[in-house]
Formats: sequence, structure tokens, C-alpha cells
Amino acid sequence: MTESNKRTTSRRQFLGSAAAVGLGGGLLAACGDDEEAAPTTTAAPATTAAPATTAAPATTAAPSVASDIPPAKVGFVTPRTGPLADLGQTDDFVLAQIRSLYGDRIEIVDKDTETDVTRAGEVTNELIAEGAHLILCGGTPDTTIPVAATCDLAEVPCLSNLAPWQPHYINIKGGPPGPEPASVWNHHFFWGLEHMTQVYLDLWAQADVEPIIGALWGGDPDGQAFGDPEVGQPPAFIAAGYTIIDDGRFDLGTQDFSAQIQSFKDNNVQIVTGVLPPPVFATFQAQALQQGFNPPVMTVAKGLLFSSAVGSYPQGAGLSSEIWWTSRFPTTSSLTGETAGDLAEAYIADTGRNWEQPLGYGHALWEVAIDSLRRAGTTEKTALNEAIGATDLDTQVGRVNFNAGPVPQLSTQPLIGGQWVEGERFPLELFIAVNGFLPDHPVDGPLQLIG
Amino acid sequence: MEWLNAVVQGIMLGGLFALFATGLSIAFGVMRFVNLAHGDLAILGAFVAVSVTSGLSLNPFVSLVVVVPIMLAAGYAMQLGVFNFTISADPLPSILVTFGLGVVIQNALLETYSADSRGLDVGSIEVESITLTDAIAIGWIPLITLAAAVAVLLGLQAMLSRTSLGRAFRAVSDDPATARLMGINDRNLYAVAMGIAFATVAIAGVFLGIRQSFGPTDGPAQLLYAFEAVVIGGLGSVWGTLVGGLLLGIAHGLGGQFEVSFGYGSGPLLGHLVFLAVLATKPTGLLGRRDA
Repeated sequence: MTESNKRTTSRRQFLGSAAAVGLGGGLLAACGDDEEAAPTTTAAPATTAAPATTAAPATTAAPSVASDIPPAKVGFVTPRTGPLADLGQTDDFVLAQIRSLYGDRIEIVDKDTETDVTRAGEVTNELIAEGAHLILCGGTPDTTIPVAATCDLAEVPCLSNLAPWQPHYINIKGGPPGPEPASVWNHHFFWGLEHMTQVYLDLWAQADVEPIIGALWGGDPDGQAFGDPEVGQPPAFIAAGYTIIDDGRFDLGTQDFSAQIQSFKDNNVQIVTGVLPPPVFATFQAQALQQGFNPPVMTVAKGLLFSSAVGSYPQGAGLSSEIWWTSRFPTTSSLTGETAGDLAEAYIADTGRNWEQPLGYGHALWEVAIDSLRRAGTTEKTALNEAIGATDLDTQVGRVNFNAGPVPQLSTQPLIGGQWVEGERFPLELFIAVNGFLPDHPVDGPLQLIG
Repeated sequence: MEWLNAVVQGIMLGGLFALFATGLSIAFGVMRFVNLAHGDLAILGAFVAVSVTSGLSLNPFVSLVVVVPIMLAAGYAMQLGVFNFTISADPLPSILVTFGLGVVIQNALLETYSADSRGLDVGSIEVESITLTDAIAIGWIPLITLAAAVAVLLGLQAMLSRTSLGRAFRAVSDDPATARLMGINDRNLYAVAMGIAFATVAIAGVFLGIRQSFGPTDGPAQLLYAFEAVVIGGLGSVWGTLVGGLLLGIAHGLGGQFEVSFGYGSGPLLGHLVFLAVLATKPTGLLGRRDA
């Protein structure tokens, strides 16, 4: 199937599902006439389609009519290539869906940051110069900070997600969290380090091992923030009774972890944590296994988010991580009435790949944008910014409300935790062990030890 | 004991560095050609191996039989078709062209293979090792990598000193104008040299892919270590490349141990310092030729 064919298929599906919203089985019906998509989509279980009917009342069906949205030009800035491209891998699908639904009202201009902080600011300036009324962005603080800061200077409304809120907020505001918003023109929705630390502690509480943590916090901004003895994760871990073996910040370019591995072995480390990009984690794990170090729990941030990356590790099954969104999130799209499961199935049918976590957040970004445009009824920047600020909407990633967060113009979304296990449908699937922030999410069981 | 372990693991890592540096060393030694796309070519080789292993369901080690000739041909064609036009007394054209080639390779790989990080799966040997003492275990993969580096460099040395092709290489390297007068087709010879350089860097790429996961944009980081190994050992010297790679590897191993023992700050820094020290005191490298 060529790229253009894929797109056409997805458009057809979503036009169909938009028309059939409220009927629940919209996806199934729409795909019936498409031979290529049929085998996969028939697998979409009736059980996930059914709740959509009940959960999507007539009021959510009505808003998906595009005509009550003011014609608008919306910029979309994400990393599509470069080391952060994993975060943008679901964007093609998300944008095709939104264009098929709202293409006649909203002109979407999407830009690739190429994982470059400078370029992220440049393309934002280009979008603003082209007259964009609203900028959407996501994909680590390296994307959201330059984009939001540029929008702030130009006084253009900006919506962002896919970046833990503290680094985003602190860098834009230039100071610690307080009662002021980071920027007048930016609204952000994601979770924060406090949620992640709690998820980790909940995960480890299920593991019957000696409370000794080996930390791999590197010398990059993330590693320094996580490993900071005062504002990072160590105080919470120590308070929970864990001993931390932290051999100091190291260069992420290192290709040799034997010193840390030896130190972890000597100190009987049972839990390895840290924040490592995928290639660095792969190097560490291969060396650890070679040198006979295979701890029962490995919970690492950043490197274990995507099945595409975890599948390439020497031993992917058993690794645990924070999880932002799954196909089993108890949520429904305000645009299409699709449940999280419907959205994931549509993605699988369209791409032939397993769903990945940015799918939910990419979709939710547009849910908030379109809801705000509709309530504003205009693209005038102050009115639009106020409408965004007044958002109170159930989305794919939970309720978004910018007045209920720990700082103004921030909405914190639920974070859960789990691990990768060998799956039946795909080589690796997520097994959910912790749902403290989202009790409605099904739990598969307690954390399973590695080995 | 941990310090000994750091040295041992560093030597193993050095094997990979030496393998990376070989192609760079050949290109520079024979035709004074600085190839900034070297790291990207290694990643290209690894991706070709991904296609070969999945397409023909071969073990990545066996896939070398296919990958190396492909890259050899690519190197030959690239030199004849592109690089030969950049060779002159001025090093800038070759630097610009190979810099551009690196960008092209990265983006072509992104288009073809997407940004997913990949690995080459050789099965359980990836995590197996030989236990020497309680504190020292040598992984099979690093050991095989080191052996491959030594084998490649031995082969190269034998070729340079024993065959007529090797003599031609040395002649062209010493004085291209005179070599041409003696009937040597230097343009074609350059193409052969670049073919060999591509072939060795493809081997390095495959071993890198077996050792760790890689993505389309990981090339430039590899280039840095390859450069340092070449400069430490000596530009254009075969054994210098091995020595440079091993020294750089040991510096990395000790740097990591410094980090754990004394806190943040060393890591790869120690390797960079060794590189600087050699550059400052012996710019031709430890085993480099004086004119290089």
C-alpha cells in the first residue's frame, strides 16, 4: 500500500465514522467497503464499540459538525524526524483524521522541528508570519519551550502537551512554580515529575525485593533534574525507605557502563531507575547482561515508552515505565466519539503498526483546539486565548481544565504505570500494574519481576 | 580490581573504535580525503544489514557476506562518480561534499526506515560472556568485535605490504603525480581505496548494530570517536589505528571508573583529553608518518 493510499483509506474511515458518530459502530460500518482494511477492522471488538454509543451522548455528536467553527489557520509543530521522531510518529495519522473532519474550516500547516530547538522557534515564527491564529505543539520540552516562547513574544495563542510540566513551565517563566502563569499565551496539559515519582513508588511497592535502587541519571537536563538531591526524585525515594546507589551524572554519549554495573553489583542493587534515551538504555542493558547483572526491576523514564524502541533491546520484556495513554484508557474523543480503543484500532488498521502513546495526546491537542475555536466563535487572539483558558473538556487523555492545575493555565492529566510483556497480537504489549491517578483504568496485575 | 575491569572493558570497546577508524584512516592515508560522512556510512551499513537480515532471514554475522560487497561497490561508485571531483590540494571541497552526503544519508534513512531505533539480533550470544574472575567478565560480542578489528587491520596491513595493489596504494599516497607517470590510474585506485573504506565501515556499522541500538541520526557521534582514534594513533597508519582505538577505549573505560569513584566530570572527557594531549605533543599521532 502506498503512502497516499493509506491516507485515503484513513480519510474514508474517518469521514464514515464522523457521519456515523452516535451509532457507535461507525468505524466498522465505514470500513465495510474497504477490502484492505476489512480484515483488521473487523477485529475491533463490539464491546469497545458499544460503550461509545452510551458514552457519546447526542451533545458530543453535534459538535463534530464542522460548520460551527470559525475558519481558522492552525500551525502544528512537532518533532517528526531526528532523535525525538518517536514522539511524532503518530502525527501523520492524527493530522489526516483532523483534515478529513475539519479540512474545510481549518487550514492546518504542520511543521517538523527536526528535533532542533532553534528550528522549532524558526518554524513557529514562519507560521505566525503566515498568519496562523493558533499554534499547537508537543514532544518534550525541547519542542514546547521554544514554540511557546516564540508565541508569547508574538502574542499568538499556543497549546502544548507531551512535555512534563515542570521543565516546560520553569523554562518559559524563568523561575520556580508560582501563582502566575508561565506565559499569557500558552496553555499546557500533561503530567509532572511528582506523578512520575509516585507511579514509580507504586510500581516498586508491588515488587518483593530489597529496597536498593541503582540510579542512572545522566548529565543532560533531564538527568540532572531527576537526580537533583533536593528537587528531584531522591527525597521521595529516600522517604519511602529506599537506599539509592547513585554514581553521579555521566555523559550520555558514553559507550561503556562497566563501572556503574560493577558498583550496582557490589551494592546488591535490585531496582534500576533513571532517565535514558533509547540507544543509551540499549547499551546499558546489553553490557549489564554480559556482565551478569540482571536486576528484578528496571523502571526507566524516556527510553521505555515506545514499543518500536523497546522491541530492539536485548531483553525488552519485563521493563517497566510510566505510561501516559493506552488503548484501554476509559476515555472518549469529543470530536469523533471514538473510545481510546477505537482510536488505537483505527491507527493499527491504517498503519499496520501497534499504537503508541503520543496518539492519544496528538488527538487530544486537536480536541482542545477545536473546542476552544467553537466556543470563541472567532479567531481574534484575545477571545481565542480566553476560550482556551476556559476549557473544561473530556478528551482522550482525560478531563482538560486549565484552572484546576498546580499552576495557572496548566492541566495535569492522569499517569499510570506498567511494564512491557510478550503479547499475542504484537511482540510487546503493555501490562498495567499501577492506576492510582486513573482508577477507572483496568489493571492487569502486580508488577512482574524480570527473570 | 574494578580498575583492571575498567581497562579490560575499555580494550573491548577500543576494538569497535578501531574498526570505525579503519575506513577513515584508509581514505586519509591513500588520498588525503577527509570523510565527514563516515559515521553516517557506518549507520547506513547497519541499516543495509537490517534489510538483509530481515529480507533473507540471515544472522547479522552472516549478513556481512552480502552487506560488505554492497558497500564496497557503493564506495567504488561514490569515489568514481563524486569524490574524485573533489580531490585537490584544497581539503575544503571534500569536507563540504561529505558533510552534505552525511545529511543526505541521514534523511534518506529516515525516509526509508523511519526514525525507529533498530538493533541487529544475533540471539543469546549478545548477552553471554566469559567470566574471568568474579569482577571481570568479557562479553562475547565485544570480544568478537575486537577480533574482527584485529583481523581487518591485519588483512589490510598484509595487502598494503605484500600485494601489487598495496604497492600502488603506497605509491599514490607518497606521490600521486609520479605514480601517474609510472602508469598507475590513480582515479581508479582511489575508487578501490574508497570501496575498501566503505567495506570496513560497514563491518563497523554491523558490529555497532549488534552491540547497541541505532537510529538514522546516530552517525555523527560515531564519527567523533573514529576521528579521535585516527588522530591518536596516527593519520594513515594501519597499526596506529588499532593503537588509537584501543587507547581511546581504555580512556573511556577508565573515565567511567573515575566517574563512579570520584563523581561527575570524566567519562568521555578522558578520551578527549588523551586526544588533545596527542594532538598537542605529537600532531602526527603515536605511529603516524612524519609527512602526514
